[in-house]
Amino acid sequence: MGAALLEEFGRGDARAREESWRYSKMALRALAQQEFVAADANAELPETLRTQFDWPATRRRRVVVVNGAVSERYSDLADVGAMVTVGETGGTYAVRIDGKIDEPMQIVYVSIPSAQPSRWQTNTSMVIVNGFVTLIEQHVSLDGAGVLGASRRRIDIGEGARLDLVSLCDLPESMSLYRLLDVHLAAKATLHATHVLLGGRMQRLDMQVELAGEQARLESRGVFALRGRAHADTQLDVRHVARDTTCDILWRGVADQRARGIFHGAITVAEGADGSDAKLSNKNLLLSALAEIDTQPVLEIYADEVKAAHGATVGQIDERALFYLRSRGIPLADARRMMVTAFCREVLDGITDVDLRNRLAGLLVPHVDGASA
Amino acid sequence: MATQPLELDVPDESAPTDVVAEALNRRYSAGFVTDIESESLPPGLNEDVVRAISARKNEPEWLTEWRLKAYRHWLTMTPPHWAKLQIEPIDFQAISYYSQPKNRPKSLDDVDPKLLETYDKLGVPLHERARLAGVAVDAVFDSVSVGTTFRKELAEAGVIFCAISEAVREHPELVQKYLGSVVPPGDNYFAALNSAVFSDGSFVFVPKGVRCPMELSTYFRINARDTGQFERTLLIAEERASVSYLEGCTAPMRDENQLHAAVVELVALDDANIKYSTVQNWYPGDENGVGGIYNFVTKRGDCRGARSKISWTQVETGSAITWKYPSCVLRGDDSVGEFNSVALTHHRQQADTGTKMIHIGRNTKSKIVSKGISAGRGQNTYRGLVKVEKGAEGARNHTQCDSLLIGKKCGAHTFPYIEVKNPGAIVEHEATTSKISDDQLFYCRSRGIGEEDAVSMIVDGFCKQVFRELPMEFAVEAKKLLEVSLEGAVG
Repeated sequence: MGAALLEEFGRGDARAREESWRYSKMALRALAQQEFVAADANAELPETLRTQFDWPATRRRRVVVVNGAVSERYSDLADVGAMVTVGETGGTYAVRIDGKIDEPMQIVYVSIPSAQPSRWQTNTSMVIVNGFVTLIEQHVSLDGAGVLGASRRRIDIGEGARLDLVSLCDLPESMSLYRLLDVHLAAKATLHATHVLLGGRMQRLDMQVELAGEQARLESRGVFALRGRAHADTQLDVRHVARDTTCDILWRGVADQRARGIFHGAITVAEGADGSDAKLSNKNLLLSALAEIDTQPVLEIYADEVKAAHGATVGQIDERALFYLRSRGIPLADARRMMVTAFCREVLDGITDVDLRNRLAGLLVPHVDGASA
Repeated sequence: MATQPLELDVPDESAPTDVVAEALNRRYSAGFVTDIESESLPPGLNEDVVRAISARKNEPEWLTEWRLKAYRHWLTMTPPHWAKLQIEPIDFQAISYYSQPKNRPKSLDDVDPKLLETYDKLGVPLHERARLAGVAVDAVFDSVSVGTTFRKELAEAGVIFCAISEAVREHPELVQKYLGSVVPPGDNYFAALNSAVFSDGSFVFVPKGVRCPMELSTYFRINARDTGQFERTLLIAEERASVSYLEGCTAPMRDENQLHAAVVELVALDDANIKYSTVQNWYPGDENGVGGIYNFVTKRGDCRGARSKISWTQVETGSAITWKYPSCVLRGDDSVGEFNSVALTHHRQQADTGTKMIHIGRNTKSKIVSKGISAGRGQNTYRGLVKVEKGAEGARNHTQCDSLLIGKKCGAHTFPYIEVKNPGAIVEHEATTSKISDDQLFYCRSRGIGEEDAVSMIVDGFCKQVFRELPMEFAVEAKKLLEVSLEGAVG
């Protein structure tokens, strides 16, 4: 069964999968030992969950996916009209966006536990033909018998189009989630992605981005803040295929208590992708003797006219900064919280929508509150 | 401490002739010159071959068993596939596990003129060229005398420096205690193979409180040139001892596509200090990737004692394929590990090299500096692991790995693994990849420096941080080696 899940989740051949799961193999094996029933796509949406995502600003530009299936009942796309179409063929949702959408759209994945552990999966293929769209993606769930979700998404961003993706994944302790995000950028297309990973029994994000057209550009921001026994594994794989492509990756990680955080950030510059500019920074805070952080920034360069750099660190809160704050009368616990929050917030700076940025920052607070000494 | 010059062309007059004769006889008795054929075992590997190797060396029972155990374990293993290398499958039954290099040239006239040209550029004295090219007799006189004199001086200091097969006979208790204690026989595929069939290698023992009076080098040892493909080196520095060891072939060694699977084990007890420098320039194969050495080496140092230090420095310019990760196990509190590396791949060379720093003791520190240069169709990979175990409070690591690309067809890759389990540790990694900038080239050329010279100047600057760690003679040679190896990479 462990092998079956390995075959199901991940990319590449058996060897590549094996390698990409090296730090999460145990977590995957534990999941494989559990029996799952199919999750109920028609489950009633509890009010407590609705309040987690029901932001007034996106009420009429929202798609709600309940246990893997788009819910007609809770979705509402009245404001975006003809610019967005949603269809379904062969179990894959096809979303087409054409035009400039000024206000953010929201897509919410709701996982509602059954009496027994349950699982769902969903496949989406999204095409952004033209224009610009901000997409707020959110995963919400309730604690319970445990849910294993799997979402696979292919996004094609057309020439000159731009997608701003803000993804928030705040999971209860019993929920596990596998996400594959496969993005393909045409010439002069831009993806600006911000991922926030909080909680979860095991959450894994496979994000692969192909900069296929000239001057395509990726900005990836992300943070995981984990405590309890949370386990988050991010595998980023960026391929520069065309000339003059750019990627700028900035990820932060915090692991406290017994949590485990994994970050793998690979940048490949293919032969002929001259003029590529690649940058990756990954910094982590390890806050507990029982927590663990594993990071692996990778560069594979096959062209010579490139600039590529990466940096990764694992460390602690700067003692001098803490001392500075305390010398100004801020209690230790508050000082620590301020430091950790500031550390995480750096990745949110690129979000231009102030309201959204503050909301995300607010969600981070309970995950860094009272960070242990 | 004055470093001993590498020059061999000044005969040591003080060496009494009988010492020379004795040494020469020993050499003969090993059959290196006389009857080559009789020393070769037929190709193939099985338990009998392992026993035969052991018997030929008059090894004690325990070592024969040790080899056999390694061999049996090797049979259950598969070659590692994780490295970013394209390796043609190796037919282990086609290799002769105890043989002399074939086609040894009889005189310098038989040596490939291209090779001689290289020596010329390196400034290797004529006398040494013959020796390096593998011409048999000529240089032996000097090297034997030199080796013997040094040995005397070393013995006075209490340092044991000899062939490992000799150590097995003379100091069995030391060999038995330390052999395989850092790299266990079953550690990995190639280490297991080496444990089963290792032909020879060096043994160094520096006792308590002794600072080795000179830099030790395989170059000085009689057997050095003929230790074969499966070399085994064991170096032990007791409490407060200190030693610097140079390894390498300082000029190209002409060989067919051949497997070289060596194992190097270093043990540092309390306050000991070991510096291990390598300049590796095995035959890299020709421009089209035909021939060349497969250099699959396991090197590991164990900082067993508190405040011990192990420092690896390597300049890798040769070999068709390099698979090598000199590592440090930082077991003792406050122990220090260092890795400084320059790896160059040109034409169709491939290198997957790096280090492992395993932090186990408290306040352990490690530093990694890796400089990769890719040219032609070369593929150059840095692969490193920095692991901080739970108990390694206050561990500290800094890693810097830079890659330089020269040409459109080459590749430079970086695969660092960072695993941290202690919240008191600080681990930092940075890497950059770039080509030689046009600005730099333009600056040099505008001052009348030719393109090739400019490139070698820039490359030299790029590697400076590592060259600084090398003993002086090695540093000079390393610099020249890079120049020679990069020839034809520009333009």
